[in-house]
Amino acid sequence: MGCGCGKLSSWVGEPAGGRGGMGGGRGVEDLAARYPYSHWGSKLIAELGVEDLDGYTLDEGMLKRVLERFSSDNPDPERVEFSVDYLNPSNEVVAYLVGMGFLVYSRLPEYAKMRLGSRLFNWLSVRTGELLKTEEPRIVSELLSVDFSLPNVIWEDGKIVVGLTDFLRMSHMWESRLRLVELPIHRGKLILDGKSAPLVASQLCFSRLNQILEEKLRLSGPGGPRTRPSWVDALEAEVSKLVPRSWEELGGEGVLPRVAEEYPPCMKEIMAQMAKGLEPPHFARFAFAAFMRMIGAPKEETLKAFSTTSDYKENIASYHIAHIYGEIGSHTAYTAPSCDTLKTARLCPVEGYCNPKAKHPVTVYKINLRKDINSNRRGATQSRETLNTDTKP
Amino acid sequence: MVTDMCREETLKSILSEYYRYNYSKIYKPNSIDGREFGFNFFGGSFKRHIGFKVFEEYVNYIQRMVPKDVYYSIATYLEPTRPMNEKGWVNAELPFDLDAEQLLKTSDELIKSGWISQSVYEQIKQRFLYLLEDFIEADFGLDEKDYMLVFSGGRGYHIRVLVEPYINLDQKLRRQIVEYVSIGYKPSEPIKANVFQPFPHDYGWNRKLFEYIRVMGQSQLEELGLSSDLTAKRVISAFRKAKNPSSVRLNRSEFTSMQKLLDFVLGSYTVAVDERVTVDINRLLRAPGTVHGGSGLVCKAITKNDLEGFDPFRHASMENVSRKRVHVKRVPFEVVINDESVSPELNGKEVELNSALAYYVVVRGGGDFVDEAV
Repeated sequence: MGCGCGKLSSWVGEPAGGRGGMGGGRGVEDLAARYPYSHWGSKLIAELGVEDLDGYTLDEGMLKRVLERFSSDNPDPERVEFSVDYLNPSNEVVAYLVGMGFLVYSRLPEYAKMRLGSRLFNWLSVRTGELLKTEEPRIVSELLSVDFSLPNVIWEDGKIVVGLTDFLRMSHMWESRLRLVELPIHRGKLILDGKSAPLVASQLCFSRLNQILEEKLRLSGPGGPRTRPSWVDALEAEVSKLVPRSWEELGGEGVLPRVAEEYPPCMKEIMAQMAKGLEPPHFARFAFAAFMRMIGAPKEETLKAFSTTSDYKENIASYHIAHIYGEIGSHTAYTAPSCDTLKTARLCPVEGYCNPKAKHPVTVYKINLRKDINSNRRGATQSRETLNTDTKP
Repeated sequence: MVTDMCREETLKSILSEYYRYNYSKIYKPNSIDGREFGFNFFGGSFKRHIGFKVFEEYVNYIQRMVPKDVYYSIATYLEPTRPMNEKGWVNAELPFDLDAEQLLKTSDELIKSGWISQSVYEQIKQRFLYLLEDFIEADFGLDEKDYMLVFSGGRGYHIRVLVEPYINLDQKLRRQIVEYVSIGYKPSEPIKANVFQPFPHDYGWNRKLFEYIRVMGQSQLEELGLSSDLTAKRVISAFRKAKNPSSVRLNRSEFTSMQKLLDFVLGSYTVAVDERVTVDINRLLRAPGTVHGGSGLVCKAITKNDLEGFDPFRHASMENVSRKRVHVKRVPFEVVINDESVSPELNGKEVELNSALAYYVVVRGGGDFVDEAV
């Protein structure tokens, strides 16, 4: 293994530099193996001449390597950290190219590719976060500045310092995975230590990988690439087994069964208020109607849920609902607010997140529903008809 | 007493006098040709999607039309006069709105109806300064050249951040900024551990919470009903002994106790800015240098230096020379505008007042004009 140092909770001393070779004490090949999407990875890819994977044949070892990355939503950080193949760094960059290429070339349905992409990027970003914990600050700085485009990354008093404004400029890259309230903000700067820098870099990595995929898809033109390498077929046969049993099983074409017990707590709370004849605030009503739209509830069903509020007027409520469903007005079908938005609006009744893996009420519902379906599949007696029964507030 | 129409005409004449002689006080927004303007007129109509190529056009419009309220967009657009989805959004100032009602968490009917005493304004100002110094400057690193401070003319103050990258932030990021200021952060309890490190780093909210708990005294513990809680005292002691936030270590019961202290700290040290204003990237905000039609006080840009001694009744009043006769009905407290006062002792009496004070009393429903011909 190329790394002999233990995990540091914080950095001490000066950042290593000028010890020969790119990236201080670690060679480019090691760095490429650890961070295959990085500029070090690109350099190795160019040296190996494998950019297009022309004529590539997928062997069993590579198949196993790639499948591992596509197989879990929640990879074990320790396991991924020790997965780096330092003896054959080319395996790491090729595995990255195969995974990314598969997402571009595969003919799997869009939802499946999204799911697989999310798993692959999560796997790589978790590994990045773990590996950076043992990395020299100079390498972390270089990754942040070169690969995640953060300018003016400086080393100050044993910390990596990044301008908050520069970081905010990269906001499209970190989206809601990082919360401002949790970041080490001080006088317009982010003061990153040995713990927080890997965390931030890991999140930026996830977004950067999404961005790389978007660029690749854009370059492949409308309708996707015309030619399809043969290794994709072999991989597709195996990878398709990892894809969830499809949304069809959960109701089909975006329409999910409505099982009120599985709704996220925020929606249950709004429903409970309406059922009691109270008058939830406008934003709560909007959130509920948009949520119902997203899970495929017909307008009539949504309207019925509102009918118990004390200020209910059918014509007004149906007008608003039709608006939210995109049938009138701007013809924009509205999306339900995210968990963060609901929290800010004080409509989330739980502390933290009700499901740490989800940041959107519809995602929470899908996860709950999947659990429900799986538990039923494992021997429950509840019939599909019962599951599909609309539960009224 | 006068009819509604006469009252409106008299109010309008007061604003007309102000704009005739004080047009130089109207603030010139940058990129004026990219802004959308909105006007609320006496009589109740509201017009928006209006644009001006140059500042003089804008001033002339106000002098000619004498609107009750003037607003312009925090955003700049390619085509500001087009319908909303065709305007072509370029960027938008990042505004913070501190409103008496939200800020002081009060349901006081007087405040709700706009009667804000000098002492309430003082409380809002202190909170505003706290927001400015502890968040906008200390955390976001902005200074006076990056923002504009404005007394809204009504119930509070605005901070308008004018610089990149803040003006380019989308709604998601703006919501995160509101969360930073208004909700704060509470460490969640780790599932498996006997020793807890509540703060993973030494900055941002971690430092704020650390510093606030360190200085908690007996009176605050009493307020929380924890004056004899030994665990809470142990927590405070552990905080005082720790060199920095990340070196705090607590056991499970101390962690639970700390959560109660954090609830108190978050309740006291967050600032309830109006989320809708900060997050809305197409918001129309009251135009500095124009009069708040619901109070007669001027929406005024101020410097941080001026803020300390700023008194809305003294420094944001219309400098009119005309006088009006007013039948005072129900003034809840003494109001002094342009060195002249109205107090509850005058309730039920007819008095002649400077027109700025008369406007304030009438528009707030504390009295009415007497036999006022336009």
